[in-house]
Amino acid sequence: MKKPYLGVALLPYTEFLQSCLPLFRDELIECIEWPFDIIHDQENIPEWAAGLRTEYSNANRLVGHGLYYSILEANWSKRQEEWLEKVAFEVNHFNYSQITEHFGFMSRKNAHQGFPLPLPLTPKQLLIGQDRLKRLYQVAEVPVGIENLALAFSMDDVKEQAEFLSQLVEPINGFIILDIHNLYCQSHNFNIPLDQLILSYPLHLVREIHISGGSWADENGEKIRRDTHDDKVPQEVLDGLKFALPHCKHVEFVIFERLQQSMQKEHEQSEFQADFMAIKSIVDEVGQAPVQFDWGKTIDINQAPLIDLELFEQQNQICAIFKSSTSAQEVKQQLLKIHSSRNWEDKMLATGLALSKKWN
Amino acid sequence: MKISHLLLASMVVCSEASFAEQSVSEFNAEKSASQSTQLDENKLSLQKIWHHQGIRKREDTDVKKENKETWVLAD
Repeated sequence: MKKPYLGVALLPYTEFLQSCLPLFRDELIECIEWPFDIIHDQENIPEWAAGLRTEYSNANRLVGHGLYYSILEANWSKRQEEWLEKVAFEVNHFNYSQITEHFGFMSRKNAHQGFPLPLPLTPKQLLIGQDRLKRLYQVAEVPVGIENLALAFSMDDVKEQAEFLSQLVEPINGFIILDIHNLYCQSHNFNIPLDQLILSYPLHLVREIHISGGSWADENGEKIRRDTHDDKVPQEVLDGLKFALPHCKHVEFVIFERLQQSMQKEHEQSEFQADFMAIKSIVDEVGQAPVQFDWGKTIDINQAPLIDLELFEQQNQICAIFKSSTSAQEVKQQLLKIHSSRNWEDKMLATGLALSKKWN
Repeated sequence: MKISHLLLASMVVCSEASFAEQSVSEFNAEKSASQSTQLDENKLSLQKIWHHQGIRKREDTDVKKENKETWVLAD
């Protein structure tokens, strides 16, 4: 491998196929990421998408990406067992190079609903997350990683996340997906230079980089950057990629993500292709041969899943606050009763409210 | 990475076939912002729309790629 593989997050929809077809035809897509737990109808995946999954699997160019495990959830239920069974099925049928998940606590337990919430770094919370990642690694038997989250309710969330991720993956010798658009969201929303934010992460743990676009929301006249994957990649994110890549010595995959709902018009499909080519030119220019690293290590977990019902009750309270409140001020007052020392940002709590309305 | 001719051909077919599924109203809605004359829902068949869309798509495709696509389908 002379430089990281560049690929796309594959979505089994016609709009996606139309957008990507010229790139596949010109042999530019070097790997694909398969979102194995967000496909509603697994039995009716289009033949072309299933074919791509098989071809990239056979070529050792397939990476798996989940969303619904909810690694910080302090309870353990049948839902998580079933999710791990899904992982087991995937890794038994396809040759995944790695499996990844998102940082956070899912606001809803039903599959295909909810959004990941950031939670404060506490010793109890860390133990739960480490336990969940160990179980994932035990089932996957390939390197396991976790992606940084865009949503943050406070500067504390922003500052803690790099350390949180680092400690979460430590017991399994796992890795981090550095999502540069997610960092761009935090950079804008908390007024921190993007380069500075990138350097605050343990870049030696980065095995994959995500690139996407997003959108702007308005909260009482303030522009909030949202990670909606539905528009072109901002120049700042491309610059961030160019800055980050030389610092990430072990990065093997660069994945471009865009939702199919934003690829319906011809100009949107052209925009997707242009963004891909812009990312490719950066990877070609500054991407280096990844320094090989032995991810993962032998672990033995015979004990039952770690459960902390007191912490779980607190997590559910946080979700309930976002569901029932009508204003950011109301959310803030309630959250301060649980975490009194956090410097909650009103505009970001308002964003959490909007997300809660959208996904719950 | 190179993918098999067979898979690529099936992707081309699926991609193009989807144009035929687009309804007249969807087509008109898409074009309304840029075209003064919309298509008449009663006079134009889906096949004609597909043909019209196909031409529109090909305008954006360079000759080299067009030849390659034809070759893949012919293969």
